[in-house]
Amino acid sequence: MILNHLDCSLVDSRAEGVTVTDRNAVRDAVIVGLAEVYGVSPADVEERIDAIGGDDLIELDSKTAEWIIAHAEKEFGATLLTPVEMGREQFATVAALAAAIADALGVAE
Amino acid sequence: MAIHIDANDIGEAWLQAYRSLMGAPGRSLVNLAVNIRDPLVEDTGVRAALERDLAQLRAAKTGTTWHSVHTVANTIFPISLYHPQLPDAASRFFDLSLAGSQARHGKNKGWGTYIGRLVAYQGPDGKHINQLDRMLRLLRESRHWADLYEAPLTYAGETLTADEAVGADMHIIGPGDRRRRGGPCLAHLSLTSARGKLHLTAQYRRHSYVARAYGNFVGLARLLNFLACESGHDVGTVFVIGTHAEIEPVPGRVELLDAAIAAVGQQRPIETSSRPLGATWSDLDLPAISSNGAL
Repeated sequence: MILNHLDCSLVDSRAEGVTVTDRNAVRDAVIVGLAEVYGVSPADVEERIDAIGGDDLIELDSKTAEWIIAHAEKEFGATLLTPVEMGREQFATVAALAAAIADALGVAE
Repeated sequence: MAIHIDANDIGEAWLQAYRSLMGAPGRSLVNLAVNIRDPLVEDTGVRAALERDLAQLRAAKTGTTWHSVHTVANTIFPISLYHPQLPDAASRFFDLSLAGSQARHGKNKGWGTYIGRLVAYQGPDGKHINQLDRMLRLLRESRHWADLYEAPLTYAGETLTADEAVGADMHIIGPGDRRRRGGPCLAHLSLTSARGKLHLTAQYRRHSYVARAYGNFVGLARLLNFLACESGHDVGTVFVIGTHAEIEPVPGRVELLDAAIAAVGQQRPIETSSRPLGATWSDLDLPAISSNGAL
């Protein structure tokens, strides 16, 4: 379920073990997670993104986003908020979710 | 007073039930039973009328959290995680649902979700049981049994040996649940296999017809479709019993009834599996409301 907490942060106070410093690494984790949900390869996802026109045009359902966040938590050793605690705008697209995770992990732009 | 409703599709079922509740004392009924003969069909006109009302209630900040039909249905069956065209579709769905459910933590974890309790129900011994997986294995192996899937005096996943099933009904509320209000309101699911069709019965201890019922009907229909398709059955009926069913005391109840009646007649098949990668999902959100309350 989705809450409209427009100002809530993706990361919660128990985040720990965050080592990622590259926003591309975060995006890669999102793509891998999305590929696993759809049962395709990351290359297939990239191909689809190119065909549609970019990360901000690939929309995500809340349950897909929830799974990708769980995947990112394992990947980066951090505890992140779930879609139920986020605003829809933070997980509505691949671009939004990757940015939200990167921001939560403190990865510089 | 008990009421029984027999409807062709989800939209008609919801509307008939809502109308009955509107005429009941206190807009609540004890034992409201709703039969949906074709649960894979809804009325998008009725659904749109309801979602406009839900959006207005959300904008009015009534103190209750109002969600879209899609979001409510997702708590029972997260549609974006089911990809029936892939090999081992059921196992993949379980793995994805389980991982998502287990990732829920923090202040909003609460009692979890219905799908979480279906794929990882905590038994009395503390072990987690995948009730849907157990159900599917029984359905695949014992299609000649019509009513194997009820054993209300056992607990979910109770076995004599690792492979021998004693009970295969599905529990949502467990021995440790003591909440008087709030979720989980869905208490129990049971299946009946008869003449090649699989039928689903759901029992709610409390069923709210503005916030939840339509989305619950859709989620239950998708769950039934999943179990039927993955076990080689045809989809039968969905039967929903609200031992205490109600219309929530919020403004605009008569207006919603009028709007839904006026919108009847747009029967469409419901979606039963994920949309393709790159498809839109935003059309399933509640409609946007402007600052003056207009759509």
